[in-house]
Amino acid sequence: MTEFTHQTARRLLQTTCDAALNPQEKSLLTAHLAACPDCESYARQLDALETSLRRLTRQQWDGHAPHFTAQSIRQRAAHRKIFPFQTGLALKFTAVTTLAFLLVFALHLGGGQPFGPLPASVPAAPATARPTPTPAIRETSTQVGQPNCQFLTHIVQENETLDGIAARYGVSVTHLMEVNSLGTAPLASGLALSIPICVTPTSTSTTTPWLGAASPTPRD
Amino acid sequence: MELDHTPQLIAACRQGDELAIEQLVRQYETGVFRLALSVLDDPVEANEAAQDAFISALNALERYQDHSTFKAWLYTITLNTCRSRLRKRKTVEKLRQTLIGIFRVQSQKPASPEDAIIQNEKDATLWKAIQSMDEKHRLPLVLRYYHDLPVAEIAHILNINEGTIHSRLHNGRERLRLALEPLTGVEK
Repeated sequence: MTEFTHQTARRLLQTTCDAALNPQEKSLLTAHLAACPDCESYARQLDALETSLRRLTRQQWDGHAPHFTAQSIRQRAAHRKIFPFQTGLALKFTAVTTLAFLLVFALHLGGGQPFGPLPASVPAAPATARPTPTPAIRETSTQVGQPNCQFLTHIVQENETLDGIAARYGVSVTHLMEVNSLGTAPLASGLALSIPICVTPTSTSTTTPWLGAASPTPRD
Repeated sequence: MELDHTPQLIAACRQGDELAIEQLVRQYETGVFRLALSVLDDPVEANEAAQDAFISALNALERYQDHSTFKAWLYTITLNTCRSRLRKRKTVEKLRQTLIGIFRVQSQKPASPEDAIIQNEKDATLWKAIQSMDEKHRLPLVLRYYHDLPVAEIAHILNINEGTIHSRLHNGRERLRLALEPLTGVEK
């Protein structure tokens, strides 16, 4: 029979916090605790810790209640569908755009020199230049809070590249990557890309049921 | 505890039944919110995370399979949602520190309401130790002591084997015990 050490006693004491001991372990532990004040003290500390953990966590968190309903969840889902940006990306995008505008404004005030065409921050795709939607292109939403922007969905075909798609819709590759959270990996065919097109809206918005968001089949 | 009518409720939710969705949300809102709160320790963020968890769960309901309990499945989704928020929080915190460094701004984080509740030194030390603990030790402890879940269920929710959960609980308790040891006997 192996020796019953202080270490064994403490391991078993830890085990009793989460599971039952077998009768033999239990009797060995009881005998050890009766003869060892240090391990007995360890047992009391562990017991007090468990009690404190239960009490303190309840004290901290039980006072709070959820403040949402199925309705608010639905609204949130609809909002997320319209704004598919991740918070971090949206923050970065806003920060970069604001800085760019400030810079342009400051330069304009300081130099008075007329500027050449602005860098791609203002997409200048005219309505007539919009490609005719092919069967792979479906209009999913209009009216995104900024009344001049629409999002199209483009299903990536075989051998298509991000550059090709960006050029086709007159949007920048960076913008396309940001909107779709794309990395550097090559595009997989069949992937649905959101294409931001800024034009004068011509139709009213169509809302998609939020549970339908997971549906793989489009409703045309 | 899993109610008998949950499978029917889930089937109705899959059909898009609005009333069923409302009932499902009502049934699990407190559990999901409390779980999010215990991970994020911020009621406002916990409300957002809980709603996001429901959105993800309802959108993925087709993929839910009956061999795991719905509660465990929903809790796993909630935990994943919260973890992603924790990662973002770390990034924002780094950004905040950088900005403070650049502009030499004296930024004070608002004192959390919890700080006022904790009065005695032992509780304050314990709470600080829990908050500074790494996620892999903190989550099992929170699930075990706040949510009263058995080890098997914790293992299932975290998708980690039971032996590892036992070991993390053991180590977590030991760290907390050591943090409290200097104060043992101070307050009777």
